[in-house]
Amino acid sequence: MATPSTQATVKLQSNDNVVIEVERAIAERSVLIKNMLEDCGEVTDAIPISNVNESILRKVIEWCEHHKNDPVAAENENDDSRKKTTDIDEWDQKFMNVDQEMLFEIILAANFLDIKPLLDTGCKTVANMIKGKSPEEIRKLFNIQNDFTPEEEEQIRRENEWAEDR
Amino acid sequence: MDFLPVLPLELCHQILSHLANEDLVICTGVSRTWHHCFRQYCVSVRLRQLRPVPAMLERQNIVEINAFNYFCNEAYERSLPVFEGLSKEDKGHDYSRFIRPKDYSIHRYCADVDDYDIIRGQKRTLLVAIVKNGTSWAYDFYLLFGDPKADENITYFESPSPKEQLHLPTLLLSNPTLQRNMCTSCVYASSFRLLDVLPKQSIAVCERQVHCPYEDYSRPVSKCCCIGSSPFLFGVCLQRRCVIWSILDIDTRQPRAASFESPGRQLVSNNFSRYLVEFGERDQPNPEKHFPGDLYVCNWSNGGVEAHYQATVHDEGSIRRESLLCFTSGNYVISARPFIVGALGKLVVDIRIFRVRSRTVLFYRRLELGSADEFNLVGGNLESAFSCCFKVWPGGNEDNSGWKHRGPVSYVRQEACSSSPVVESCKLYLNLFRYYEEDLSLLPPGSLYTPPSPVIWTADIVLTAPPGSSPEFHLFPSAYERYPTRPTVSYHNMSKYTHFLEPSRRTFVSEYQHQDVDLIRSLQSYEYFGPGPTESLFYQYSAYNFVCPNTRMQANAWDVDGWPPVSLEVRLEKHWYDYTSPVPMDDSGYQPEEMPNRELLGVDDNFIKFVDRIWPL
Repeated sequence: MATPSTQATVKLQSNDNVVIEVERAIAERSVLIKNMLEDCGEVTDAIPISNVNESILRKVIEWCEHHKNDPVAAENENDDSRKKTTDIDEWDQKFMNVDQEMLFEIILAANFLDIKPLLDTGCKTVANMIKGKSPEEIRKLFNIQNDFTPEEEEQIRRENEWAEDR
Repeated sequence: MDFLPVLPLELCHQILSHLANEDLVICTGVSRTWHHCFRQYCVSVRLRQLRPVPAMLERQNIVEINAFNYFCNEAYERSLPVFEGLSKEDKGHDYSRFIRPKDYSIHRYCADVDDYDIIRGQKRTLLVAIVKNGTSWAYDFYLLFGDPKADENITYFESPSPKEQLHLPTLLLSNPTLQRNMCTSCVYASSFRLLDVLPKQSIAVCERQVHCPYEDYSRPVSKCCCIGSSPFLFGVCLQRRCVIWSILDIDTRQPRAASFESPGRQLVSNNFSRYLVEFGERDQPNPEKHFPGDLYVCNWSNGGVEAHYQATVHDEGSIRRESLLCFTSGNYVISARPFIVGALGKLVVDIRIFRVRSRTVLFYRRLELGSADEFNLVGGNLESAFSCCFKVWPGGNEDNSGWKHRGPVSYVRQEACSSSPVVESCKLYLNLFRYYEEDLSLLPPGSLYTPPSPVIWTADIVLTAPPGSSPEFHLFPSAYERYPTRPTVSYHNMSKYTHFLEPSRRTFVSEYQHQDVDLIRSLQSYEYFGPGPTESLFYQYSAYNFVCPNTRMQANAWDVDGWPPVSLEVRLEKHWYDYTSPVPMDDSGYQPEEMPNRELLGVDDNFIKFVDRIWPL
């Protein structure tokens, strides 16, 4: 088992073969990488991050750098308060202010790299986009085709009436 | 860009997990894919999370239901035209049946609560109405589910103003009628009184004194603030119960009160006081504290035990038993085994009887026996400690044709025989029947008449007795149902039809008796049943129909180690002899009718023996 101090940086290789060198502490925000490093000890080769391309990887690293000193939140899957709140801190909001495609890819990458706080932030961002919007607004936002028949739509609207007047 | 096709399902769900239910619902209207996905999520995740909610609502509603019971009670007694203003059907609530609370279906009411709140997502309104009576306020409160604003016809109620709401607890507390029994059933069959009103909750206090489980037992018993649901009245709807332990007696403003709080408990408070509410399930029997005691239902014809209800034990030092029993109409003897009446405790027999499959909320009966001292005061006989009054709400609209309300429909008589100052037993004679009038003149003489199907009553009997005693219940059918027959009908064509309910078969048997016309005797019909000396009433009724073929009073039930047998048998014997006595009962010349083919064989230590049935089948 390697001690953390033996290695200051790790190399990460995106799926488009770009190698990025980051501080080990930053890379270890990812539980995936952290576990890998713990299991393998010294890793001198670049770690291939097969699902993530360069731009996303850099974006994720940017996030990790900013959050490298965050305390590791106690993992509690059933934590209701975590789920219910959609508050995102300001830096994260700016960070997430990207186009939708990138946002979803960040979510995917965070999921793959097992960075729970980032994943949470991403999901909250999407949820915030949906929140309080009408179906039509949501369609517009995500560019979704309305494939309901008018009758179906009317029926759903009636069923959901109670949720609308909040 | 739509994220549903992009992201794997679990990530989509993670996004959805940050959305409120309302948002999720609205999203189902976006597209077919979204509809499918969001619906799926709602069903598979959110509804599952919702599952505890009905229970929670129940807990919150318990007091409301209590209040509702009370409301029924009050409103019935005062014949308030409570819901007369409500005539419209509103969202499935047919207010027309609220014209008299007796037509109110509690069971349905509860079901509505669940459906309404959970499935429809609608708001429930507890209408604590202070009824304005001229210039003064009447402190009644009523419940209404649904949005009262939606129904413009509500004119009877006036919502209390904020100022009045502030005073509501005081008002309610200062109202003596609210402090009467409003027991549904707490952990004990105990009496409740409304003690306090909290935000969204109320505290009804169980009168019983028990140990607060969070206090050590060396402390004096504190007032238990049990709030019990009514599993009896509401069937499966309300099996859970919540116990609210008042921590009024200990100073809750002390910091240590906070330590009471835990995931299963919650402190609630208003301006006046605090309570510790426990949400825990209290249905688990405690084997260590198990008190023996069971309820048997005996077979009509052979005396065999048909059903055996085991007592469930809920609280230290208390016995709770509950069961749903099916009765057919008729006379029953409910006997409670000798139990020890301690100096501290009170014996409470709580019987609620209601009909199933109808909207009838029937009556409840509480017998409360004081301490042994009290018994001694009344000569060691519990009889005078009882009061005999049933509250009866006859059936709903669908049944009005069959019901004729003539004062108390049921009569009860109870005996208690004391063989020792502290050992008591009690016996309740329960008479369940429904009036039925028929025009038999249309029937050809001699033909068999088939009455409508028998009324099946359901009852629960709760006996609460002081710690240390070991009461038991036994239930014996003591007579057949007999339809009252109007003289004109009874003696139609010099003959008489009598309809018996044969409980073991749940059918009616009609008997065709040739009789001489006896006008005087014909007056001994149910016309004469009314509020009066219960004893004679019962005697008249039961003696006439008192048949217990082969029904035995099981001796083992009455054998208490170290105690002499109590005199149940003797009493029965006495009654029997009264019945067979040729001496006229009163000046009217009434003489109990001899029933054919029936004989008391004897009474020994173990059995009361009868032979034969009253009719040849």
